[in-house]
Amino acid sequence: MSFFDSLIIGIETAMQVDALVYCFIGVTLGTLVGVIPGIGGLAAIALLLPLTYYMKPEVAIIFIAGIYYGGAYGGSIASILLNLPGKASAAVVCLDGYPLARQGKAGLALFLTAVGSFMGSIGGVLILVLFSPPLAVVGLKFGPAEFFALMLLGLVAASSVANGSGLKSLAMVFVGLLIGTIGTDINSGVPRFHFGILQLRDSVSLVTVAMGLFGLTEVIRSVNNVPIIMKPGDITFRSMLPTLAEVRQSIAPMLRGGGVGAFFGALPGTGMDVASFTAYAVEKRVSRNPQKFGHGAIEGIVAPETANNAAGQTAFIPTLTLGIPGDAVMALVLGALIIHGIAPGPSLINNEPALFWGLVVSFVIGNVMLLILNIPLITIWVRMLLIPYRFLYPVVVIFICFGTFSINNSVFDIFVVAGFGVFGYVLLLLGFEPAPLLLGLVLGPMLEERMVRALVISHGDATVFLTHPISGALLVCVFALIGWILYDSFHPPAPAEGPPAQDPETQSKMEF
Amino acid sequence: MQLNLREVLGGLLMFGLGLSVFAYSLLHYSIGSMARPGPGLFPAVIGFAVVGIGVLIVVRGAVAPIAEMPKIEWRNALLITLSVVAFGLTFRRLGVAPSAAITVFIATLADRSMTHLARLATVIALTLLVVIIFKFGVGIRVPLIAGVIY
Repeated sequence: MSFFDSLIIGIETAMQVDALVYCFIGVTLGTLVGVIPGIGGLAAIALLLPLTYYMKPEVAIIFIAGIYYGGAYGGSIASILLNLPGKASAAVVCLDGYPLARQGKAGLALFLTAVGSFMGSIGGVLILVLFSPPLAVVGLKFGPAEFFALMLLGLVAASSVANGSGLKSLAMVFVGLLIGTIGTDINSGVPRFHFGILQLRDSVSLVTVAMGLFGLTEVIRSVNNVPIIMKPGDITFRSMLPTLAEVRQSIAPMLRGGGVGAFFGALPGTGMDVASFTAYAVEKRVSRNPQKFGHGAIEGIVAPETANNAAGQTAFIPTLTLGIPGDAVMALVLGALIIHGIAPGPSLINNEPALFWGLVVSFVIGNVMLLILNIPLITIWVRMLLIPYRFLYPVVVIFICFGTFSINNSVFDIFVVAGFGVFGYVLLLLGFEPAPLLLGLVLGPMLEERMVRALVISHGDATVFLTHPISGALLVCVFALIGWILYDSFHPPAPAEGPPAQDPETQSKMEF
Repeated sequence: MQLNLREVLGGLLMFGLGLSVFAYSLLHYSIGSMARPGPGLFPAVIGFAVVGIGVLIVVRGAVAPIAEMPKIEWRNALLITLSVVAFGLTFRRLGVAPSAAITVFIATLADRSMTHLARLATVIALTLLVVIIFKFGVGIRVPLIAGVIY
């Protein structure tokens, strides 16, 4: 099928009324969730996932994706206006965004981050379109051993770049794998770890875990701890427009940031956070006067914002072409695909062209919507920041309760979500990152299935994972990464200048 | 020997979890052979890996510099968890509206700065919101008020 035909199918799919409506709702919700500190995007997607059960699969994924990349726009608003990031990937925008606001240039900063975000997203979509079909072709040649190795690499890679201790994140990944074994084993039909409870024979729902681990845990951590928001001034449209010099200053950072973002987004295990921090570091490194960073350098806000949006789009590449999620949100997207009966993997582009290309076209449509939402309509979001957290979190809690119930019409799930809320909080206190757990949970069943299949095909020869060249190469990378994690754990580097010393709340947010 | 409590506790948690899974898998599920892996193989291997990581974390806790335990929000944890558990207990027995009200009420108790009036307003507003969205919108098959209105 030619590219032109694919585009036509994509446009047909994305231009349907329900697709357009849900795209708009998704990106709006995503921006909202990104704007407000204390409300996590991962929890939002987990909460809304059950609502998508009744939609067509294409529309469901368009909706969820909209929340994801929409979040990449709004996070910097609070960074610029209040020195308080809405989400972790926007933390670095505080460094130069807030000084710009104090210099009276808040409008300019907001405009440039919105435009940078748009450019980054479009760039990311282009890369997605260019690289996905060939990558899928490569992926089709993968056998179970290769997939096992690739998934394992993705999981270990995610642990190694996570905030905080790589060793602990690795533990989290494995715990996620273990939670994934609860339920009926695909290969043998034996129900595992159900402890006599009927509902556990059906495995623990991904959404329930996500809502507990990210929604409730976040609330437990944040109540009484989200600072009172001072009233930010209104932003006029005129104050937003940049001078020609400022435009020229922004072009190179956008290009560099976009490149960095596209790369880290596509890599399984790294995402928007790494992309934005790295882009900032790159700008500082290549700048002719690095001293201006931290005092309102335009490059310091444009590059990270372009990067995190580009990463938000290219993050879909491994998910859609290989079925390997790059971060916890992609894990939920994958889960959503599975729930709708769509098998993720290299055959997805060929088997479901409407879904893939419709999603791609919806990315473009969604980003245009976001540009409009974030420039002329920016005052809406600014007003949102005024809502005190104490009115927001009960909404989150009650929605989690109802949402969890509606997955399986089961009251038992409500106790499960409460349990995971507590468990998540304990993990947080002990310094464990919860996001890798979700990755392990989604990939666990598939990882085990591939492992068993590879072993059965090879008649019990475990060396098959190493003798197949691709699988072997990937496993070497896995061992190297594990070695690096171990080394890093016992020989920590001297603290270098890097991302700003954020308060512990933002530091441990590895959600997008 | 200085002990970094956070690390040691975390490592012990992983150790305990991994060991439990490992032991349970070996005792209750068949491991099978390499050519025919059984249901117990994967959990046992992963459980064992978790044990290993737990040990490493504990070891690191013994050698790494002391770090502070973050502040434990007992009140938050207790009240938020209680609110969700209360929902689970009352949802079918009392119906959508009463359970929502109770849950929101308990959840708002966690915030120290909320006035009684604000709390009342929040309970009423959110109960109405979820009734509209979930009872009339989504059509959840649970009575509005059990025994009184469906």
